[in-house]
Amino acid sequence: MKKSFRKTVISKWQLLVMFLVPLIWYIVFCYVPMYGIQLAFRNYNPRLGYLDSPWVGLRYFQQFFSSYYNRDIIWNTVSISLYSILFGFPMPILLAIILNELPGIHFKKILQNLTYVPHFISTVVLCGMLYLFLSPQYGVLNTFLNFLGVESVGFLESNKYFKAVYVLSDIWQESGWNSVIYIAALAGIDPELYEAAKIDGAGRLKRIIHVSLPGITPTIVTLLILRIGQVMTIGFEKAYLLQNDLNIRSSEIISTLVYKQGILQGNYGYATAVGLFNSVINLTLIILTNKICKKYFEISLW
Amino acid sequence: MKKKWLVSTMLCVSLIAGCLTGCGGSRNESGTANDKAAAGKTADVVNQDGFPIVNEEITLRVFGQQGAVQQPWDTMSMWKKYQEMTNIKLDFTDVLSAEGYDEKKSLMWASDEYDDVFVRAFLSNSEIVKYGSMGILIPLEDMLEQYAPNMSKHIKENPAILSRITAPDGHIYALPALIDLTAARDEKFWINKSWLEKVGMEAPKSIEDLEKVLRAFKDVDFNENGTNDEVPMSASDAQTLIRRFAGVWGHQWQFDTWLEVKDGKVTTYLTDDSFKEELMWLHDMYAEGLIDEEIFTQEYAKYISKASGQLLGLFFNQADDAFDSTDYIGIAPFTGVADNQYVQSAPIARDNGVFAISCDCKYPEAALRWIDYFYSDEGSILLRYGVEGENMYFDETGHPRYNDGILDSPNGSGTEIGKFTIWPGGGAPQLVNEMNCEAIASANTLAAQVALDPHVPKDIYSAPLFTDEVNDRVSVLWTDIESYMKTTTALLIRGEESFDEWDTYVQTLKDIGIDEWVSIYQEAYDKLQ
Amino acid sequence: MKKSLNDRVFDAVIIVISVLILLMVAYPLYFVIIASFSKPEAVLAGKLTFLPVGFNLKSYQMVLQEAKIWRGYRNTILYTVLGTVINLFVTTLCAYPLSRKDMPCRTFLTFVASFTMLFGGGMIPVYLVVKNIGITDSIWAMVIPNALNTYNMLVMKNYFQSSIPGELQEAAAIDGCSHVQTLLKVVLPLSKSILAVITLFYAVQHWNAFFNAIIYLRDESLYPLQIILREILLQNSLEAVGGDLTGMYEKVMQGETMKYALIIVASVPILIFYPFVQKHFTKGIMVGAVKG
Repeated sequence: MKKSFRKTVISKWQLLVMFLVPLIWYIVFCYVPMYGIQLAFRNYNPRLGYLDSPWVGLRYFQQFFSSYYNRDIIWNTVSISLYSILFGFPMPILLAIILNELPGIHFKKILQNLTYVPHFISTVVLCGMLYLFLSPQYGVLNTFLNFLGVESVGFLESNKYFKAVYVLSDIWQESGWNSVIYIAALAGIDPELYEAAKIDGAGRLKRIIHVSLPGITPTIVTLLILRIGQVMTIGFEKAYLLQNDLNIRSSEIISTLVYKQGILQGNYGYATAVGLFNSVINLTLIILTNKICKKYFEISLW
Repeated sequence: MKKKWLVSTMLCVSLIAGCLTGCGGSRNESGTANDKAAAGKTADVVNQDGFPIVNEEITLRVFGQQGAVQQPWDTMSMWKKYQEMTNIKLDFTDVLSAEGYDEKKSLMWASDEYDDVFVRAFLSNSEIVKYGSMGILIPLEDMLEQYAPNMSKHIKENPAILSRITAPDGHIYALPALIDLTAARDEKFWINKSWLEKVGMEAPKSIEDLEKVLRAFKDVDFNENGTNDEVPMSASDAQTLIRRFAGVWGHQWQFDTWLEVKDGKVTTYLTDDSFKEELMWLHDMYAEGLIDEEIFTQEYAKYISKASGQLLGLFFNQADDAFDSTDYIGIAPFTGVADNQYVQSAPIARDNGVFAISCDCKYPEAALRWIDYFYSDEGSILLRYGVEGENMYFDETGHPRYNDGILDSPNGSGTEIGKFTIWPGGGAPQLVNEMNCEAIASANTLAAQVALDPHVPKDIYSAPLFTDEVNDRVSVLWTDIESYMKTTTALLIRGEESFDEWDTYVQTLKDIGIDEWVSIYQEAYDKLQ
Repeated sequence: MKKSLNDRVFDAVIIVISVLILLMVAYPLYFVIIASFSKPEAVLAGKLTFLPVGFNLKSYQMVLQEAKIWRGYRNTILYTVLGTVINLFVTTLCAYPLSRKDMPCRTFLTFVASFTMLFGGGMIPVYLVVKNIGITDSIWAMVIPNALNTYNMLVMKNYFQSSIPGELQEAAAIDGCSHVQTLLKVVLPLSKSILAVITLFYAVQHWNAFFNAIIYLRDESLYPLQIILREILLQNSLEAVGGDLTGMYEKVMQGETMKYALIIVASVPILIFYPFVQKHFTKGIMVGAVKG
């Protein structure tokens, strides 16, 4: 046993050495920081280090749950995410199907490539564009509304529209990019299936429903599991950059709270506690959805 | 076989983890010991008075916020001169707010590796107490007498400063800016004189007059550029507007927040009916288009650009340094809705936390002497005027004057002065008095102050320093109160929420715990007495 | 074969929808372009629809005059190039061994890698680690803490597993190739499409990153472009802009159209990069992600 182990190691030493670099990276930048989760239970004093800082137990969790706004914040996080899934998730699928059905190769190419473009725009620039376009004083969208005889709307200066702005701009930015994977999957469907459907007298719409969609279902389900696993994870950048006093009731989400409390105000314990709460829910969600999908679709991530 | 791998991996992880996280701790202990030993020695190195402060050159690492209108600190003539004078070299980390100052400051605390001194670092009260009690900021009170003679003199003359800066544990961890000049502690009501003349009206005295004047201002194309870009009334943001008019409605601004003190009782007016009346009035004005529509979202730079572009009728600013005030006059708060009007003035120690020394500083005595100079008349002139000849001169009466082209610079005097000193934007370790205030207290500003003087409250209490535990509670309460109040008042003024809902607003503030919040300040007040 | 009426109606519907999508995606982008060439007054008054009004290049002049933007540009390019090279190196070193069936403890190590996608220590502990290693305030802070992206690594691993025949690798081994040689001579040459895709992923990520810079960098001369963008686009910090135009008000006005020019200047380089990768794109992502 011992000998064979040594033998494997020797013959595989190159593989192991290769893997050493990423392994060290994982340990240093992912696993060592996990040790810092104890910040959630300690009143961190940088002079004393992690272990000697006083233990405060669940104080920060209590603080979060006794805050007047915690329910709103959790709801905002979940609802923005759910809206994104509800409206944003089908978009790339639709786009892929439309592109697949589109006659004329040139127009198809143009449209496909153009819809990728927004993906390359950084969050900072996107938020800058939103501010410019949606400004109630001179934004182009409001100019257009005025032209139609509708009064200017302060889209970003209101709790009402924030989530819509967030989700729609996401759709605008990412649909094209996310459709790539479905386009690829559609291209992988056996053409004979379409021919067979055609002979059976199925129209184009029917062929989409009975051939195209089933063909990409595994892809859809896999991506959906991954997406649901991230229900509580919304990147803080966009929400944070679009926040102001007037939309804060619908724009404050867990990640912006963590950022403000932890990075801006130095309440490390509180921020870590809220972040931990978030991670645990995420982990639970992804395990649950994976279980469900395994049972009903026989598709699993692991 | 697998197990073995597991074990060795775990070993590896824990080893590296130990290294990366443990180092901080051990380095630290020896660090403090060194500090102390070094401190004992440097006390001898520091010259007791005069310049240079040290005979052998030392270096101080300085952490602070570079103001939006300031140039990088190492290019400033003020610092260059002061380095020569003191024999103390400076190594700056000056970060613009827009480039992530707050993030960097906050992570710096977590890192257990600090610059020597914090200058214009905008340390908040809670930071001062928290990091002071953790030992990151060192206590200064024992050194003040010997190494900060100027500051000590001010404290003796004005003991209120001491209560402002002393933490609940009895230590002084940070020094304030001293604003000896009332005109630098409140915001003036500026009204456009030439617009008044054009519409043929007097400067408004009562709130009714004001309504008439604002209505007259509306829709007049004063600058004749064909677009309706004139705004009858504006402020840097909605909260400021509400604050200014709270004074008109007879409320003070105590403890640097929405509180007032009457007969030894601390109360808030955020839930008062008079506050509702004020908001209703603002709502009416807004609905009529008399208030700047951009007030809820505009950046300060935009606001000031409107003022300097002569596009505003009535607005608020501390001084006239950022705009041409020939056409503006300062007026008194409007009468007619309350028995007394108050100007919401700041205490003498206006900004706290403008200077502190970290535990990593090897020369605390030298650092204290180094900063104390700026609290002297002579030093304050260096900080506020820059270097003689290069940036300023003394006139025949011996008063400091900026060189030509600075105060009337088309970029605004602030931008011009920010090229050589660190005070524009506030928060600097400075002494402002009648001698050195030319830039922020022009004749016009001083005249405006005369109109306000009768309305300055007798006692002005500064924001108290709470213990860490109390502070945790206050900050939870205040975060929620402020967030709720800010949004609701904005919605009420914009008419997106109805005043019928006022009871809900009051009830929600009570649910959040506004009474507990007030009582915490009451306790702090009682301790002061 | 002639198309049936039904089919033609269907085509028409599809085309109409496509044109609508095209307009919705393209117009905002087009508007940014024309606004950047227009007079600020016209943009602010909402007079812009399809053509620039008062065509001028002042906004670009303003952008190009600003030393900060140039420096940010240079830094961003540096971080993107160096960062992507490091990314590719580390990602390959991780993906290749994990794709080999004969890798010891393969399942466990794959789990070690994947778990980090689900759970992390949070920003502050990561910051403390980076600080203790001593790479804050240096170019390394911009490229080392994000040297590996687990998702990209898994995509690459799946590609290696599914589209490079195991027999080829075995044959190489029989010929006496070491693992390193197999990787360099057999696997990588067959993986151009996935390498192109991963390169694009990483490059975009580096180009658009601003958060690491905010946290790790103190020295202004190291700031990447996105920090400067945030300053100007979102915080309206016009002091960041050179003071050549007299008068604050004009400066603010011109600043508004300068923002449009800045958006273009900042986004064009990464867009130019895309077409070079595009032809590999579908294949790479298909095999890497779908079959995985």
